[in-house]
Amino acid sequence: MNANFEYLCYGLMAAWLIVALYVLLLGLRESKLGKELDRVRHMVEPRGK
Amino acid sequence: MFLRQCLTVAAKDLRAEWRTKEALNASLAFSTVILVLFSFALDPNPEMMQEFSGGLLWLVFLFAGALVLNRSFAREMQNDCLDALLASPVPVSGLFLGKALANYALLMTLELICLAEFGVLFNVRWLGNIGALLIVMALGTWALTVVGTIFSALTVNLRLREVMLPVLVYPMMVPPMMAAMILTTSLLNGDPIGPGNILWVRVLAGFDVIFTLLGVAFIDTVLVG
Amino acid sequence: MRNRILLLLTAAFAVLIAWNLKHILLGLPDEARQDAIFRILYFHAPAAMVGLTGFGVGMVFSGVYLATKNFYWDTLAASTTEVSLMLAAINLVTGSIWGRQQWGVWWAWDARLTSMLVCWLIFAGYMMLRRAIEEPDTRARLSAVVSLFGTVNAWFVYKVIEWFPRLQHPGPVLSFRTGGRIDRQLETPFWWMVLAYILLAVILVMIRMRQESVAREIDSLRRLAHA
Repeated sequence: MNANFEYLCYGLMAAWLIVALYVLLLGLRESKLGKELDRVRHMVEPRGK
Repeated sequence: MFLRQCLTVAAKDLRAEWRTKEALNASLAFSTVILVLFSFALDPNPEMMQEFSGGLLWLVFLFAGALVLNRSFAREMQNDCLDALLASPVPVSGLFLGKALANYALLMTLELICLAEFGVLFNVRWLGNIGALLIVMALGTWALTVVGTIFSALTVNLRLREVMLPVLVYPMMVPPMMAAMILTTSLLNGDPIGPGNILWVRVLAGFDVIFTLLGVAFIDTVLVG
Repeated sequence: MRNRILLLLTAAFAVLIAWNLKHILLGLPDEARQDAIFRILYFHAPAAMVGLTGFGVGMVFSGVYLATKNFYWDTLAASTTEVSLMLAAINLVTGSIWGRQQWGVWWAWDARLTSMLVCWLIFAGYMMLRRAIEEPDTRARLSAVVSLFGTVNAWFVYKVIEWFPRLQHPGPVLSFRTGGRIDRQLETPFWWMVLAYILLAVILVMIRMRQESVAREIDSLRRLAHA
């Protein structure tokens, strides 16, 4: 190819970066929710007995 | 009947405001400070004023107006006044329109005073097309009022009320503010509203109608659920 | 079952994007356009199309919530709007980079970019509002109203900015609506990209929905624990 390939790369990188950031955000939220779920389940168990 | 109920609510708000003058004083002081700051920041010369006058003016209206609009429903939070109002025979849409009318009166007063200050500080002649200018201000202010009142009702129970109201309202005000700014700039420059500009008046009017209808339709959902 | 669908969709997305990328970067005839940067259109415009549609779809879901009071629709609306916010961000950033290359400025106040920016701000406010309200019923109700107002407003913004004289697009506009102007060979990858973005959006919304149901389970368990 030719000229301006540099900017094309930046553009594509930026697009993928945004998707990656969002997926990361989802992942963080998932792990936080998982921990919270375990904690709350733990809280409920002994009481239930 | 409905109209009388709206006017009663509006009169109540205006009377309360007139007795304390809290919102009016605060927003007047704020707008004066902003105008002075702008004149320092921009160092206005006639060429620049030709391009920016409308934009500057409406920015000041937006910022100072947020103070007034915030108080609108926030005032009702003490002593459960809002619940009392909702329980009254006045329909919720009447409550909304009444408050909107009161806010409108307050905002128009604020804006007229600001216009005078603006003319003095920035050396702008605004008496030229005063009729058309008043119409543009009336339409634009109604847009701000109607969107601001419904969002004031929406954010009334939030902790971060003072932040959320501008964050929600300002992006939504972009269409009418653009129209108002363009029209005001050309009016302050001395050009009357001609066939080139009439489009923006239509935009303002259309926005006003659509969002008034939306506000009246959804105030019930917002306040009562 | 749900996981299997999710996996299948992700695989489909991966294959589609890989194939399409290869086609865009290597397969397209070079003599059509002189510079490589126009290929960014294939990432820029579909993101806008799917993103804006997503906002509209979110408004519809909000409306369904208000009619049925079923929280499922509220969660769906929030997820769709959040994913659309991400797609709008992609559109803004790629548009900015393209603009930097074509016109030398990082931001050009042209009609499409500005209306997308205002849209983004409106719906970012929507997400902020959701975060500020804890009670699910109030949150669903109020954010539904904001979504409605926001979508009507977004349409207004687009129309108005189209007419604003200063904000004319300073460069060439590739408008697929005019039809027939674009070479068939150039057009096909564009629609495949749209499909890829739709797949991506659906996958992310499904993941988000699952997270929301977990959050609701946590809420109810917490309420049980405190009882």
